[in-house]
Amino acid sequence: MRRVFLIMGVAALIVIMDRALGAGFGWLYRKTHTGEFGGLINDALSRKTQVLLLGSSRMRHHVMPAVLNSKLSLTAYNAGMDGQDFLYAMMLFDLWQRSNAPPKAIVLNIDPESFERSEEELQRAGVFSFYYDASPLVRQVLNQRSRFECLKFLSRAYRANGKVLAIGWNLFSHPAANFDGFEPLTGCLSPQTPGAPRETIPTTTEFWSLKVQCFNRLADYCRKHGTRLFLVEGPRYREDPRAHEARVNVLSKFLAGYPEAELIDLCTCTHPEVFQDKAELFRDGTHLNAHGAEIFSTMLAEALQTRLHSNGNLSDSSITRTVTIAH
Amino acid sequence: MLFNSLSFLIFFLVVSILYFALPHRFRWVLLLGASCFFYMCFIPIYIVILAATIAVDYVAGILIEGTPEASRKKAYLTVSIASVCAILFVFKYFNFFNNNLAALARVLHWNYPMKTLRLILPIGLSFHTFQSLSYVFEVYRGRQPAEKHFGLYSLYVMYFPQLVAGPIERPQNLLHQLKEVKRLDWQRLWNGVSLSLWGLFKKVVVADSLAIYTDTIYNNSRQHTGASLLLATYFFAIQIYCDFSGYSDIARGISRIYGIELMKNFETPYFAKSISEFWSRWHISLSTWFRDYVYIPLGGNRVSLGRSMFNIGVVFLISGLWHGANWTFVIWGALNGIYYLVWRSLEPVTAGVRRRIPAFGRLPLGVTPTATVRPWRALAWLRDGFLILVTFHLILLSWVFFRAANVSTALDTLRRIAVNRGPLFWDPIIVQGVLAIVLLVVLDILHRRTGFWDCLNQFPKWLRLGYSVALFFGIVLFGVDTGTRFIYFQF
Repeated sequence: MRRVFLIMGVAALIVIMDRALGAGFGWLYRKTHTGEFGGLINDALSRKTQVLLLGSSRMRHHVMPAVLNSKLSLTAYNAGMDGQDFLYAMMLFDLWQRSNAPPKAIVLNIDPESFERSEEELQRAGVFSFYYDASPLVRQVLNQRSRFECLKFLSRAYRANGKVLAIGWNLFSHPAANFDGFEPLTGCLSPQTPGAPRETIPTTTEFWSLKVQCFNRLADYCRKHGTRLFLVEGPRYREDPRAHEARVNVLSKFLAGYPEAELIDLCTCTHPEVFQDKAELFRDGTHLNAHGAEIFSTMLAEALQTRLHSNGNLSDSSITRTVTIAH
Repeated sequence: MLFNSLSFLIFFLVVSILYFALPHRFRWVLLLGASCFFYMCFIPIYIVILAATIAVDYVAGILIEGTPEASRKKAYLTVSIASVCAILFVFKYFNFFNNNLAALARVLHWNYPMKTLRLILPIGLSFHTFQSLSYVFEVYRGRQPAEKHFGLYSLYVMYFPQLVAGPIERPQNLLHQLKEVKRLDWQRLWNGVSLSLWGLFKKVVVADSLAIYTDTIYNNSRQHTGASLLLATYFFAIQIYCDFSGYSDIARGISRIYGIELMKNFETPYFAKSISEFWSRWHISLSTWFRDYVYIPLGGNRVSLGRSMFNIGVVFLISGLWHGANWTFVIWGALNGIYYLVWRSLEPVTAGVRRRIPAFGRLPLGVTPTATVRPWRALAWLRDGFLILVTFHLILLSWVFFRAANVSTALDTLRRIAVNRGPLFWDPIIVQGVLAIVLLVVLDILHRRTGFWDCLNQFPKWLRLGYSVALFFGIVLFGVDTGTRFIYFQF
């Protein structure tokens, strides 16, 4: 009998400690506003904005909200994240729309590959673990990480898994007052750098049902709230025209079923006069440096301006599909 | 099903509850069934290969024991060794030898038509093959009676805690334990859980954190600077230790819960003061296997110096090949063999130094060093520290070959470490890795000085409980949760 009480006592101690650690780290986590392990999510969720920019590092380092702000006279925030992709964008938006008014426009930077199933992407979705209870979508995505993931989330301390040092570090660093999510990249490519290798040409994309489901939700939201949804394709250094064509074809085919979404193609192939062989604009094969980002942001702002102000009405839902494919 | 997965935890809980609920006579059936299930979670059909190995050695054991004639015994032994080694050769070494022969044929402009086999290596093949062979050797030597119970013999080879990555057990240690009646012992249960937690901590907190950096650097080694490669090599040395010793500790801990003691596989190897000491502390079950079944039958050190050195060379080369069918592993084994031989030839010199500077550990316990002893003590510390560092760095050099994808990459990595200057590739995981290493060193020193895991019962209950709870939350908070495989599974 004594042993049974001892075991129950140890179990109770573990449960209490688990709750206490989970609550303590959760409280500290929500105080962080920098860092890729979640602080930037908190920062994005606290921003009221009219143009929300979502995507991977190719959004984070390519689009300057300040440029959009001055050209469109709309507030903008860049919520792109290094190493993340479509699921991150969807989960962030799902959380963001719960406490913010609908934006005028959402700009999403994705490639056809973003719709494929990726175990790595699922693992990286762990940055949202503190928001497990806050959104069914976050729960749905995180539960796909492994067979018994929902059991792991019974532990509160588990939500801080892999984040403790980051929380400690980020508690003492704060974003600048004018921080808008954009992070400029420095340095540039050597003109001798070859372009993308042939193997990167996408032929077919297997759309993952979870991601299609997420996109449907986003499209429904946009339709319901009159929010304009733009998918933007950015430039790559010495992009293979066939790879570009294949990429745009896949995306266009997919978007055919979504009249509220429009593809804005600002690639090297469609704008060779701006990006072709301009090594000084690129930090690496797929990322623009600060100078390149400024040019790209201006182009994107102009493209958005044309579309958003087409009838002098920001909430106009008429959409013109203007995808230019260079052959 | 990996030890560091929730599926395994559920499997283990179910098996453990059933184990203690069932009467003794049914327990072997449960453990054998659980072991089959555990193995079949990887590639189910490969259970047939394992069954073939078991069947061959089971029959061989009975035949060897039942034959009075020495020549017939030898013949049965040879057939048994040839059969199980043939399986090992086909799955693990055929493509390696075939590719090398094909390359040689190309150089000599010969026609070489043999094609490469498209086979996936069965998990832990080398481990259970060696465990099965050790049984046949022991029966042949008359040190172990042949096991008549096929189920128990199968369980000896397939016992799930050590099936895929050892320790490679001897029949004298394991078989009789499988037959003994075991009762639920709370003390043992607690010790087993604590040891498993410690193993899991080493795997998911230390090894897997370091693996993130090591893999990033080594998978693109030609794009990284010498500083990054050097740090990645240090990290790999700790990673492989924590990965493998972590597995061994989990296996020993789980088995201890069932009342079955498995042999110790690691004994703080990076504190070794010589290469020979390192090999008596690293992967002990394999080192002693090679010593008992290869080195001693070849003549051991009871032969001429030259022959003895040849024997050591052979053992290290086979040990290298055992780890993998790749020239990198052969070079890794050869390097360790060279270290061993050089160290042994320097033994008279080091013994002289040792005599002049008495080791601190040799002072009688409880004796406070006097003013005259103290300088010797400091010198002994310095000497030991120097020897530990030299041994560690020699082993570190050999790990470059162990980790690199091929020989040219390994050589290029060494060249870059020596001549390439440039900034360190920074990743925040470095901080966690370094903190984990510091903690590991502190705990290993504690273990070395107090024998913590061996005399857990002597420590106060609150300390043991606190330690286990801290390990548990350390795993929950800092463990890398991607279910990475253990490195030694591939062998």
